[in-house]
Amino acid sequence: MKEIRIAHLYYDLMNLYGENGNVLCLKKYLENQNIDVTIDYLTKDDKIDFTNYDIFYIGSGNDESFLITLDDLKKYKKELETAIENKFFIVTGNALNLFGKTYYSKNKEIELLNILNYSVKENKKRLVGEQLYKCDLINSEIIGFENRSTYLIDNNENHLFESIKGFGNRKHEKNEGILKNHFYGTYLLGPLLVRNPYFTNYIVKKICEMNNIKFKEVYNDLEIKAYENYKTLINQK
Amino acid sequence: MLRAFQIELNKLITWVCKLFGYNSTVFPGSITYNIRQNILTKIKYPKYVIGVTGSSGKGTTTDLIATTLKKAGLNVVYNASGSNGIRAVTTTILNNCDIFGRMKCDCLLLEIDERHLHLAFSKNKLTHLVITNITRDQPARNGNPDLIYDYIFKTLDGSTTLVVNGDDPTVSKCKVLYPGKVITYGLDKTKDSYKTSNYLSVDSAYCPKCHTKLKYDFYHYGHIGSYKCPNCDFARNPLDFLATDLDLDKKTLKINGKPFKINKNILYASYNTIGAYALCKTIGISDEVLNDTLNINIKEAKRGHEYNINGKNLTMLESKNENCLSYYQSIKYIVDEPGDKTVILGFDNVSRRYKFNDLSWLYDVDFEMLNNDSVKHIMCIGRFKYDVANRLKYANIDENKIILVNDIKEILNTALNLDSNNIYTMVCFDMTAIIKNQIEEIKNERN
Repeated sequence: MKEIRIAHLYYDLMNLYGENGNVLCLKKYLENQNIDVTIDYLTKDDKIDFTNYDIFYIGSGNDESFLITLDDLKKYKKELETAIENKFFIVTGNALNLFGKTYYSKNKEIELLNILNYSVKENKKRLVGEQLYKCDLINSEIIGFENRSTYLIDNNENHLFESIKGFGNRKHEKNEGILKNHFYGTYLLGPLLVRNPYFTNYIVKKICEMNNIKFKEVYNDLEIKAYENYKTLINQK
Repeated sequence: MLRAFQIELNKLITWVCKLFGYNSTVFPGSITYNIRQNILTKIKYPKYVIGVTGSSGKGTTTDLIATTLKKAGLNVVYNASGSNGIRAVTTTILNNCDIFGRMKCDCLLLEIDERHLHLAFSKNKLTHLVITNITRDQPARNGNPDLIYDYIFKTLDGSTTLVVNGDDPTVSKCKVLYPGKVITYGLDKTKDSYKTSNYLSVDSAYCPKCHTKLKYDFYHYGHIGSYKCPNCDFARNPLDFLATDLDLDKKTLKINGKPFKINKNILYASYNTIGAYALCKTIGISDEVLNDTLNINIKEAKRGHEYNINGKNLTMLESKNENCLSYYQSIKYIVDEPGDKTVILGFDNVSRRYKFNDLSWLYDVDFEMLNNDSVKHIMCIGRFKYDVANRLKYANIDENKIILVNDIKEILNTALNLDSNNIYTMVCFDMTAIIKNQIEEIKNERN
């Protein structure tokens, strides 16, 4: 049986909004494809071997946790650049900011990982609310929630989603998130994969393709109903 | 002149509200506060101005302090209604002032929202502030625990004596950052304490001073426990007030060696008592008075409403959505109670305070605990029942135990027809009201 290894990066720093659900969800979906899954929970001061994993997940954190994480991740800049070429990265919430160039806040500028081609600016007011997006990769919409204090500027990367209701990378922009190779980054937070079964099936399909594993769509009735229900709720707003 | 006008108007509106049976705790203050928002800086405050804030436990801690201070002979003004925003606080303060803005009491005691503290006390300062804990709580409104900390400390300048839960490392950052006096309290290891946390969503895992991962001797729940930094001197110990020998069955504990009672058989109740004790001791209340109010005559608090219907016990608990540690403790309470259980979970809206429905917190709550032999059935109700049921599936709870209920009208009868003898509801406010009506109907039919 094929084995897929997931690294949940900075699980104890970047974990603000129930984002562990994403890793559990990936595990479940991959197991449905008869794949053996291991999850390693890794954090500051652990030795992270980026060649050892197929999928990397990182979620949201508060300002202090973000800086601790950034500082630690800088050690791995070269390894990260290589890994982003051919491995899966699922990045939610403000973890998206880590990979940009510069973080502009009111009183300071922080150098980010400088791996992807965008910068980040702090917003006075937090951007909070339900989001409905479409996505070129699949036919179904994406649902989710955002609660953030930054937006992207000088972005020269491809977007992942397009906003139907809610915010884009900037408040009034249509494009949201970053897609590069298999780097899927979005400001959507929380258990995004649990809540978007069609999108998760797409990601799992791509993982299977890359690993020469036969893929079969598997859906869970509760997840579909929860997804449809939330979509209706956003559309009614 | 304007001050006198605001004070008298506040009293008049309160009187009219009471006359017509309207809620008189928030509305008067919302009118007077909007006339001139710095009104609370124009008041002549009494000797003691005490605030109680934090993510949970504010209300009971404030009640215990109020009872004790009154017993000690102080004339106490406090917001007993539990409304703790700036408008309710304004109502309370202005209604207890004379026309010259002087408060007619020895002590002003306020349960106060973490985000509103700096609005009420911008230039005017508290003499004492109790901080019960800072946890994930209503993130659509509060952002994250760090931001809650920043809100609390926004206008504190070192002149206020802090009385804080030292078991909470987020709150305890103030030991490093706050320029004034900090008194700490905490709870010693209990039989339920655990050594390592399997719980992934722990806040404040790192030292606020040097960013090294904190080491815990034990956890009580979440990030609350006994921690120290392996790299620097940031640590929970020493505490000024330490509670030991907690016995939840007997509802007893000792504080600095003296026996006291807690008013609920649940862990967080002990923090309310220890916090109240620490504050009262700090302002010089005698052991004799404390023994009376926190030991001999401590007011029993009900853990939710309890009923007996058709031979089954029904306990109604509040669904503390978006506060994963409060939610956790309610689940733990249910699981720890004896007997077979049916648990009813659900809500139509995540919050009563705002319109956002962020469901992320479901994955911060340790629903895995419900994966317990004594929990026979879990009924999911409300607009987000599929999300809740799916979360239970992720907790590896047997699908046969999960029952989806579409119509709230059916909920009680369905639960009563199941084979477990104890029913626990953890549903939103509106559903609680409907279920209470159903209980009344069943009782009336029987009579």
